[in-house]
Amino acid sequence: MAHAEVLLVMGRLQMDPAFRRAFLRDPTGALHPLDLSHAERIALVRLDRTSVIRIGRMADAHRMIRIQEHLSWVDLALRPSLRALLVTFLERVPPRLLNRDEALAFCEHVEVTAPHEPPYLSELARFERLRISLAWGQGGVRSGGVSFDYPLDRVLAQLGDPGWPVISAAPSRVELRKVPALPAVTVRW
Amino acid sequence: MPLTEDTRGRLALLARRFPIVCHSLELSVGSDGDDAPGYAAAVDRAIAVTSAVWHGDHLCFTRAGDYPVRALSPVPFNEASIEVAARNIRRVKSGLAVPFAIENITYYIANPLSDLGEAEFLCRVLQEADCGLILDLHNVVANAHNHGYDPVAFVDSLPLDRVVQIHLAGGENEGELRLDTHSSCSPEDVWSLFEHVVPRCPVRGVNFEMDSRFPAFSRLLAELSRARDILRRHGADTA
Repeated sequence: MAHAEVLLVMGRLQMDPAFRRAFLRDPTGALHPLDLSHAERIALVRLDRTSVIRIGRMADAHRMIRIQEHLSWVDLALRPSLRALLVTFLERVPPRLLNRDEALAFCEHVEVTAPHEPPYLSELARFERLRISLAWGQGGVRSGGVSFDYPLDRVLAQLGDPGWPVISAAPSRVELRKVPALPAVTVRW
Repeated sequence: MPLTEDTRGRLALLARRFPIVCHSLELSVGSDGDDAPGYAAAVDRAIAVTSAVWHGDHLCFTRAGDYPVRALSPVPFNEASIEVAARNIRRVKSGLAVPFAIENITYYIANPLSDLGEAEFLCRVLQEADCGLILDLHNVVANAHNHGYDPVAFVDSLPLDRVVQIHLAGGENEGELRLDTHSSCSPEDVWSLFEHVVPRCPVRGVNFEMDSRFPAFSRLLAELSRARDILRRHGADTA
């Protein structure tokens, strides 16, 4: 049992930013509720702090890379304002098995927690969730038309530039079609 | 790892043209528990669809009980970890239709609960689980650099007769640290370790691990040619 608990500590130090912060602040206190032997507790308190910070940072970056594989606009260099959403995502959403699952989870997180600016962010996340789900045959999403309150084609066309494009509300509709035998969709606005 | 109809079709097509081996990330032989039901069954299906000749995963944990870690994480090098890993590897082996091999991973934190060296730990698991070894030479070189040991002495202390596949890769440096990012071609110290290892083990496959920053295709072909030359020089079949 204690061995499993040791692995849980090591796993959470990587993937659970809140636990990591608590450990770095007060290792003894963070380990207190866990079912560890005295020797394990003493040993884990001695974990090198620099290494703990490093493995946490690497885990956070790895999750972001997994998301970016499917959502290239999730780029903190181009859009630093996404950092707050990423931080809450890392805190609240456990890591998923596949990169596309991680991207879908991020879309769902954005749909629920998107700030007011830019106003189309939640819709952008919904579009991306539908696109990825359809491409990979997930979530029961089928080929067909979807309507939005913003012209997402114009938004998507400008996401290679820094910052968020300034675009006013205007109804748009997209036709998403699964490409047979490939993890891809055709998109027609 | 859901195998959709699309995926199955593409894998079957590849399998008709090339010999395939499968390699998974989430069997988590270093820990107990199951947070991804159906994963092992999906591995079985992938092996069946591709007629894979062996299967590999990593000597690590990617979940802790039901807690999803989803990253190749080192277990402490101690008796408790050997017992868990050997038991799980034996279980995986008994459920697979093909031979099973484990891969050495990179790690960036020394666990104070380790009371064995990495090489001794790896040897003990291989012996007690009686499985093959996928020897990742960039992982050896990176660990040797980051944790201060001699990579040649490390590989010489392994049961090299168990090696079924060698992984070649490159990474990047972060300050003094060498990272296994699969983002560059193999550096010279990896090639030199490859030269050292090939005559000492029955290599059945070599894999180039590259995930990003791909070089020109001609450079990839040059890497392949270099590996084949080394294998041929030591009498290996390079098909």
